[in-house]
Order: sequence, then structure tokens, then C-alpha cells
Amino acid sequence: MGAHISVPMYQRTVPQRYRLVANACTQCGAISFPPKATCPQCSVGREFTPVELKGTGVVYTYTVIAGGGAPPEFTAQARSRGRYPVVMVALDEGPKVVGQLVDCDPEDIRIGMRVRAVMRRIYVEEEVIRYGFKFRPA
Amino acid sequence: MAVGIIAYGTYVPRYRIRASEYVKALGSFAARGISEKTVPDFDEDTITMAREAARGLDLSGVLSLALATTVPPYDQKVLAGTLAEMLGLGPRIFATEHTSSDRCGTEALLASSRGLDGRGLVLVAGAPRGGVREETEHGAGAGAVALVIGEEDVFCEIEGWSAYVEEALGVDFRPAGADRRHDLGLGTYSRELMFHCVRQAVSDLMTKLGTEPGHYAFAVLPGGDGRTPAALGKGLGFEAERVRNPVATLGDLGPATVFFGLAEALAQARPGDRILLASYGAGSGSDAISLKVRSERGPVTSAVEDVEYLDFLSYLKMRRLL
Amino acid sequence: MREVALVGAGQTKFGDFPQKGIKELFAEAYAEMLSSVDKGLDPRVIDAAYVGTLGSGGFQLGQVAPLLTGHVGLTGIPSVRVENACASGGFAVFQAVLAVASGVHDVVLAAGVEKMRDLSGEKSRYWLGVSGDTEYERLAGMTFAGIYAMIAARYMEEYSVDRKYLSMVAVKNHANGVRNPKAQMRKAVALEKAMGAPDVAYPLNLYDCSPTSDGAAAVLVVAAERAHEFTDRPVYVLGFGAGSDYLAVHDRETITSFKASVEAAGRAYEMAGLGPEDVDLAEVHDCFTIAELIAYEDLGFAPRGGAPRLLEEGVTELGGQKPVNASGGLKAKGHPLGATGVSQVAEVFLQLRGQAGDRQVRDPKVGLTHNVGGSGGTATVFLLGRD
Repeated sequence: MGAHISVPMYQRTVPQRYRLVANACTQCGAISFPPKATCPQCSVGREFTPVELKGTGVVYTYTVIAGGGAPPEFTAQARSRGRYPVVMVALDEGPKVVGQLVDCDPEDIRIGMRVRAVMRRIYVEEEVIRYGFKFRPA
Repeated sequence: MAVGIIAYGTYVPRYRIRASEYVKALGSFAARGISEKTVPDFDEDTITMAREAARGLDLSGVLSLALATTVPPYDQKVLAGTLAEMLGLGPRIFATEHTSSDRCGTEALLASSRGLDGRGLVLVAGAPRGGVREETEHGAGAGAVALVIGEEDVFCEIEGWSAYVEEALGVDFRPAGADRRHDLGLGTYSRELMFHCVRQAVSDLMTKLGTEPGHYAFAVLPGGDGRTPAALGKGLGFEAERVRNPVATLGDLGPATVFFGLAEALAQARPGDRILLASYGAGSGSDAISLKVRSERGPVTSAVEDVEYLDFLSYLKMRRLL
Repeated sequence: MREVALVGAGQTKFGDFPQKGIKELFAEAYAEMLSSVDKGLDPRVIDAAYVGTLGSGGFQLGQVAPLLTGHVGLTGIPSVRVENACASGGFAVFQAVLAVASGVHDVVLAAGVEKMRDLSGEKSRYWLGVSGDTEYERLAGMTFAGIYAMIAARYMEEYSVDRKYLSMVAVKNHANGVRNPKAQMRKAVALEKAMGAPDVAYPLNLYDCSPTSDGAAAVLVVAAERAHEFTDRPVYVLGFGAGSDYLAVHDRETITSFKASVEAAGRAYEMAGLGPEDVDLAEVHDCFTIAELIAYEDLGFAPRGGAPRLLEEGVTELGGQKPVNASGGLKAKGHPLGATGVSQVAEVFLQLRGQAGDRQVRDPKVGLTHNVGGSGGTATVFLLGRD
């Protein structure tokens, strides 16, 4: 049972998923990601210029999901890889995002360590591969 | 002006498995000359690896994209669109997708270099598959190489090339809809066809250019295993130590294997060195390319510092063979 | 704005009841609520009903409220489903209180119900994953446990807190659950066992997570000026508040405090003219043990980073100065998502009237309930008192 993120919905967020395209508020300059209708910083800005984030940042916090705690989209991954780490990253440009951490032993994760975005398969639903960013130690 | 390589990058996954794990689990390891190989993570595929191979490359001025892989994640879908989006290229690019055999990488390079407008990006990604009890699986690794080609700021020029294509039935093929290669076990038959094909392409090239094996500092020859490139080299008259074959520690990377060999040669080459690059696609075809190095330039790689070795069970689960 | 009172409360046992669906559970809670009204209640005086539920039994996405109110013989009245994930119940009570305080209705039923145990493992994990930010949090591979685990990791890092304090919450609430006949978990657990349980999402283990549960609860909210028609011992709503924050935890300024809770509590305290020091007992939202630690701070019981000290000193034990989750909390009582917020109010109702049996807190005058939706997207706080 998937999250019912429809294909058109995922398609709309491809720039965010593939290239971390964020919003720069034309009023106050603040960068927000993922994009919202109103600037979270100044609360009034509703016009933005797109800006591609570098994908680099530090681990703000993290968890390691045990196989049984995975949402259904990740059951196959959990069965194959066992537990997997998920990090919340404070990106260098300001916003925080969440994503899985790859290429790292869970025991080696530290809050404050630097990471960078890499492209991976997030999940498959309706036989459509949903690609997107994950993170690895920088 | 001759088209050549401006920049290049490689990507291999973090994970490895040693031949000894196969021996422990299955009693033998059939890929001779390979001591360990690369293993793609559960969430990697030829598209993600191709993208990562290009990470860090300056893609300004790239107007064409060529993707080469025998293991595309879809049998039918425009994959260039996915990569163009991931890399921030296009949408107004000329995109080609090459597949069908391990020759698809050189095919992509040569096809891109003809009539090139601006710069081109060539992505060659391999992740061969086989059933766990099949010998074709034992040596199968994963990795990708990215090349930016063009006419200006070239550090390694394509001097010339030659191609040879003929019918060859039942040699290392994958039937439609199958996810594994089919080996009829016709060892001698297959070998003879391969040697014939590659020898023709290489000798045609050298005749055309008036070069001899001694003119080449490096020879990157196909085979996907530990022995064939050396045997081909010997038969063609190349000195053993000039033959570059990366499979010993990477495994069989399909069409990307010879490109990893090329990367190895480029990293060691000095200005004036020639490199012979030859591919082989079963069924059959071979491209032979003569390259001349103008200046030294290392790869812009996403180098993985620490590797992690897997046990056999973890390997099977990660490669979805269980 | 009028004064509001509660005159009846009931709830089912929380647990695993294959024989009962949402209709049966709702009816059971409703019946107990009716019988709890000291002077009796003619159901025809009920003006409106708000029903909190997230999953609607898994089968009745549309109009589950009239399905349930009709099942117990209430028809004609406004009957509305309220949803804010695990705060659905709290918001059902909130809507009922608003309706009565505004003067539009005099007698309103606020109820909550959830059926979680009849789902397959996969479906269950689907439902547990739909109330966080679906696009990013869920597609990063997290269900609630993962999100709260991240919060716990950050809290432990920011305040240098040992994970034993998480387990101390589990130990306390399980001990309280033993004394609550309605609780799903009625066995005490030792600290070592709680600390050594298998990980669900590091650093949270099995004993840090509330169970999935079936259950229902119902309370009757009336205009205070009419409370005497129903009981001589009404419980008064001294203050109430609600709040929200960005749904995705990564969008928030801080993740070791829930703005939604702070807002809700602030408004409730202000309305009541009270402060944290006036609270004699509290039912807080311990969906995961870390949530109780943060609740102490968000509700002003402890300064930032000061929650572990309260546990260390036994302040929030049943016999302590400020018992928290005398009912066993979500951890031991159980957490049927839509019912929880109503069940918390029902518990404080009983406590203030001296009807809490083995887990009775000594002579409480002011009780607080704190109900949070998911990972803090929404929250409600009620301050209840008596004559």
C-alpha cells in the first residue's frame, strides 16, 4: 500500500527531488525548501525565484529505522538491507530536509557531520520509479 | 578540429564482495581473474550511477547527451529525459540512448562525436545480471563513467576509429523480457567469434592510421573477465604490461568496463601517449578507437574513500537475488 | 463567552477487540457516559455531537459521525467528524466547548473512537504513516516512530540527556496502568527491561512507543449554568486552547519543543488565569516517551532541558507533587488515536470527582489534559476544575 502520491504529484516535484530546486523570496531573500505558497520567513512574500541548492549540509538529527518500522513503500528495501538510517539535514543555504542516509554504517552517524546529496531510487509505485535525493557522508 | 575528451568522471558503489565469499557459499567462483567486485546498493541503478559519474563535471555548453547501458531501468521509456532533468541539461538537447550489447559505450562515444554541435556528455553505465547459480553472475559488478567531449579544450583526442559488425548467433545474449543473460555454454565457439571480431576492428584501425602496437602506451581491450584482454592483447602484438583491464578489483561492468580501463590509462598517461580502446558486443560487433593524449588531466570523480565488504547473504539480498 | 462544564464521561477498555467495530465501541463509551451522569440524562437534550477519529474504522471515510450518532439513537442534530490525527479527540472536545461557550448549543456530546487492531501489519503501518508530512517525511522512510526518534536524538544531544530518562517514563506509566482497569497494558516493567528492548527507530525502542489500540471515549459538555440539572458535582472547563505548527518537522524552527503545545497551553492558562504551578495532575500526550519529557517543558512544568530532573525527583509519579498520566498515559492505557483526547478529559473528570479508584490522586483541584496530533502539527490543552 503506497502513500498514494500520484504520478502527476510526484512529477510536479521532480525539480525538488532531482536537483533540490528551492524558492528564494523576492521580498526578503530567504531560501525555502520544499517550496511553499508564502515565504515562511517574512510571511508576506508570494513571489519567488528558483534556486538550485548545493545539496551539502550537516546532520541536524537522525534515526535508524528498524525493519519492522518501515512504511510499506520501503518494505522491500528493509527486507533487503535491514535497518536504514534517516537524517534531517540542515542544508548550507538554510532550509532543513529529511532523507535517507546511504554509504554509512549507522554506528558512524554523528549529529553535526557533513553530508551531501546523491541520487537514488526512493521507491517504486504503480511500476513508476520515483527517483530522488538521499544523503551520504561528505 | 578533432573531437576528444575534455573531462571525465567515474562512479563505483561503496559495496564490494570478495571471490572468497562465493567460494565459501557455493564452493567455487567462476569468474577467473577477479578477486573482488563492486556491488550496487539496493536503491542504485544504471541511471543513478550514470548521474553520479557526472557529478562535479562542468556541463556548460553540453548540447547532446548519450546514454549507454544494457541494463536500463525501463525497457521502454525515454531515460535521457530523466538524466537531463537530474543534471540540469536541456530540454533542448540531442539525446541518444544506446543499448543491445557491451559495445554500446563506444557506440555512444563514436555516435556522439560525429556531427557534434557544442559539447557532448557520454554516460556509460553497467550492472550486468545473472542468476545466482550462473557463472555470468559471479563476475558481475556495477559502475559508470561520464565523459564530456568536444572540439575545444580537449586533453585527449580521438585520432581515428574502426568498426566491425557481423552476425554471431548464441553468444552471450539476453532474450526479450528476461532479466538474465543466457549462456549456451559454447565456450570455444564464442571465444573464436570474439577474437575474430576484435582483431578485425583493431587491425583495420591500425592499418587505416598506419600505427603499430608499439605506438600505443596503453591498450584497453574487452572481455569482462581476467584473462581475455590479456589474451587478445598478446594475439594482437601488444606488450602484456600495456594492457589495461580493471576487472580484477571491480568485476565485469558491462559496457563501462573498457571505460574504466580508459580512465585508468588516462590517469597514467603522459602527453603524446596513444591509447587503443576496443570494445566487444556479443552478437557481434567491435569498435576500435585510437586516442592521443595531449595533456595530463585526472578524473573529476566522486571517489568513495571507504569501501564495505559484504558477506554472501547480504550480497544476495542487496542484489535482489534472494 | 459562557462558562462550560462537563457532567458525564465514559470510555471503553482500550486494547484489541476483534469482536467490536467502531459502532460497538462508540456505543459502549456512550452508554458508560450516560450512566455516569449523576441525575440521569434524557439523550434528547443533546444538541450536537463532535466525533474525533482518524481512520473512521477504515471503511467509512465519509460521514462517519452520523453513522455513529445514528447507531446510538441520536438523529437530527448536527453531527460532525473532527480530525487532527491523534488530536482528533482533543479537537472534538474543543469544538464542543466552543459550541457551548458561544451560546449556540447547551448540551454537546464530544466523543472519539478508533479501530486499529484489525488491520494487517502493512495497512497498519500505512495508517501510522499518513499523519506526518507524506511527501518528504514518509518518503524518507519514516513513520511516526522515526519522526519522534529524530526528535529524541536531537533532544538528547541538545540537553545532554541520557536515554534512561525515556525509559523512566515507560516505567512510571506502566506502573500506573496496573491500577487502571481500562488500560491496555497492565503489567509493570523494570527499568533495565525498558532500556534493553529492541529498537523500533533508534533511539526509540519497543518500550518507548505507545501501542496501537481499539477504543472509544465520550464526554458530555454543557453550559455551566445548566450543569445542576445533571449533577451536583460538575467539572468546569477553566480554560482551553489549541495550536498548530508546520506539519513537517523539518520546517520548524526547533524540534525539541512543540509550538502547537506551547500555543495551546499558553491560551488555556491565560483564559483560566492560572499557571503551571496550579496544576495538580495532568494527562499528557506520551505517544512516545520523549513526548512526555517535552510535554513537561511545553506545559511549563519544567524549564527547557529540565524534564529529566522532574523524573529523577519523582515529581510526576502517582504519589508525587504533580502526577502525570495517572491513567497510564498513552503508553500503558493505549492510544486509539481518535479516542485519546476524549479519554484524557474523561480521566481528569473522574480524578476531580474522586472516582479514579486505585489510581486516585489525592484531592486534586485543577487538572490539565494535553493532546497532540501526530508529530506536533496540532495540539489542544484543557484546564479543568471543580467547586
